[in-house]
Amino acid sequence: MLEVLRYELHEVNPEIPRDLPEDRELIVELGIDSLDVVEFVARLEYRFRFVVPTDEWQQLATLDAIAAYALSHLE
Amino acid sequence: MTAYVADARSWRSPRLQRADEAVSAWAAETLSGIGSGAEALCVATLDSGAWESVHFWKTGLASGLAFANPRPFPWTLANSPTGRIAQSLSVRGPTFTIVGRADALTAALDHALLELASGRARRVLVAALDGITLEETRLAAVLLVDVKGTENLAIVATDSRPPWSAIVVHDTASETLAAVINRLEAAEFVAVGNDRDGWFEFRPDR
Amino acid sequence: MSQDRVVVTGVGVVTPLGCDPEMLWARLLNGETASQTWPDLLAEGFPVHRACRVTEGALEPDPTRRGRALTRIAVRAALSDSGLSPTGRTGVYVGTTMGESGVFEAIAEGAELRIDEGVGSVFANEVASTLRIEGPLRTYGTACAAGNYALGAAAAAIRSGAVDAAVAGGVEPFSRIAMLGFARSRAMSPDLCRPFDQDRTGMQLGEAAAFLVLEPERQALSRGAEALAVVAGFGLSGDAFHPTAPREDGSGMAAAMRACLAGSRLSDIGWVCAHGTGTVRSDAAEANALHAVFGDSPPPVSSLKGALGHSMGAATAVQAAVAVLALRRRVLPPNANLVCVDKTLELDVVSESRAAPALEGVLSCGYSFGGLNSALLLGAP
Repeated sequence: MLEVLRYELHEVNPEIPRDLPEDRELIVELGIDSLDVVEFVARLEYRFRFVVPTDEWQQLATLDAIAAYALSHLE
Repeated sequence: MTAYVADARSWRSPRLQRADEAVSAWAAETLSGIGSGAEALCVATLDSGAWESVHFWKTGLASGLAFANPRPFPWTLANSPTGRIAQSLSVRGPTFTIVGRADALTAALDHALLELASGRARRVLVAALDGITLEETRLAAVLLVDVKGTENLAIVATDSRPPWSAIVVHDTASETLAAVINRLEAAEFVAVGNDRDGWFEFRPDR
Repeated sequence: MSQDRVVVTGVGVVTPLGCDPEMLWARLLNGETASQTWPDLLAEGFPVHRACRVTEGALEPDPTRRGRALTRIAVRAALSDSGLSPTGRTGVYVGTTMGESGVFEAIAEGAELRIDEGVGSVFANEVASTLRIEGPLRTYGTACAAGNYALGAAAAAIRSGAVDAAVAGGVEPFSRIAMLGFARSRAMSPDLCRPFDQDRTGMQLGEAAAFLVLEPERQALSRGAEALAVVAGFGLSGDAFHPTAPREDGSGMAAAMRACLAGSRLSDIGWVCAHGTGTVRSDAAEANALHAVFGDSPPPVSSLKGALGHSMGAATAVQAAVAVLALRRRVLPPNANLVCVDKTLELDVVSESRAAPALEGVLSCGYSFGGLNSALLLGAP
């Protein structure tokens, strides 16, 4: 799943390195643009057909957290 | 109020996608050649963000609102080209987005001259941007400065109506400004405006 | 060029907490919020279903004409309040963000409407045609700062003698496009907008229209109109930073405030009506800006966005209307929905309505997407 996430993130913005650490906060620690992050999660939602409710959004700060969320919501 | 025209150019781009940042990015990049050093920015536009709004809603409905891609959303605002141009040119002074047709150009020139007269800016970029046809996007710009250097063209605000033969008015701000620039290149005396909003004459300065 | 002061002689509002300034004022003072869940938004599948919308008054049911209806109501109310009869030298200055959003939505859904029926300038044109106002028309599309732009431009036009009076403000009908965009951008709170709260979770969408009548003071007095407030300052700046996020240090916001306050004493500012959208980053940036300008102890601060939502192009116009009321009543409205203030911001956030008998000046701020920053100073007459 992490590989999928890194691929999708790179698709959103090719300037984002493909070897991002999975345990660092994307926006706050790695300085990824918030516009890129929201589009990235939107692509995952569309691809995997899950929806991250607004009140759970804050939890998805790292690639690890997003991967865990995606996996737990797959059928 | 009087200012001096340091540069004036117009451009057309064929078939820019009205979906995302395409128009804003093209405008910002195109203006980098004329607007560097601008301390204020005045953009006149009719439909910036409009087609982008239609596209965003259409694709949102198609994907299902819950899955809509947020990427295009910031570009649905009429202000988005102005913000992008300001970012690209590092303009930290006053920036304006005036919505309308030829009257928006008149207002943009008015604001530009006010900024120069007040001393808040020494170089102001006035740009007109319209994509009202889906076939092309039009952009025109003049760089106005407060002090006559090597420029021999002045822009003067006036209350009295100029001779009819000098007045240029078209359907949109960008077409109007492009027509003005054509006349300037032919060294002709030209004016824009209307009785209600005021007039701006472009004159050779002795 | 007149040395005369520019004064406010009339106010008209259409908001989710009332279409009458007295009603709006009472409900703001009470700490009320118009935020609610909307069955239509829920049924249509929006990711967030809470917003603040106008429910009172005989409103235009057609969403492709809603903004124009809000405009007519608010402008008529402002003119009636002021008693001004518009002439060919009365200007109309309008701020908006999305324009007549319902038109774009309808076009996307297949309606055969022209794109120029939705662009922002339709509101000023509506005022001119239905209210037969013949002076200059201007529309500012500067998003969340647009109302201030309109008011600042109107005041400048009066001072320069370009117009004898002005109707200036902003309008933003409820936009499904914005409702979707902000929600999917994860900028929206799932429940309440809590500006400056330690647990704030984002903005909430609103809609509104608000217009003020501005005139030279001598003219107002000579026709027996009361000067409600003075337009005492106006400032603009740009962040040149990012399409949506503000500079974290608030330096752009601070520059706009300083430009506005040039020629005033900082100690005369008794209330800041903040931009305060309730997002973590924007509120923090605004706090930094206030400290940069005012030092350790900025004036008391309230945002109206917890109560009314974010009405974008109309937001700063509504703020100006409320500032006029605050100056008249010498009371500061609270920052609604405050549970526990974010102490790291080190701001005096008004939690309950507060008497301010010495209130002389109100600073009203609006900072837009794309970093266009504005500040307006209103003073006691």
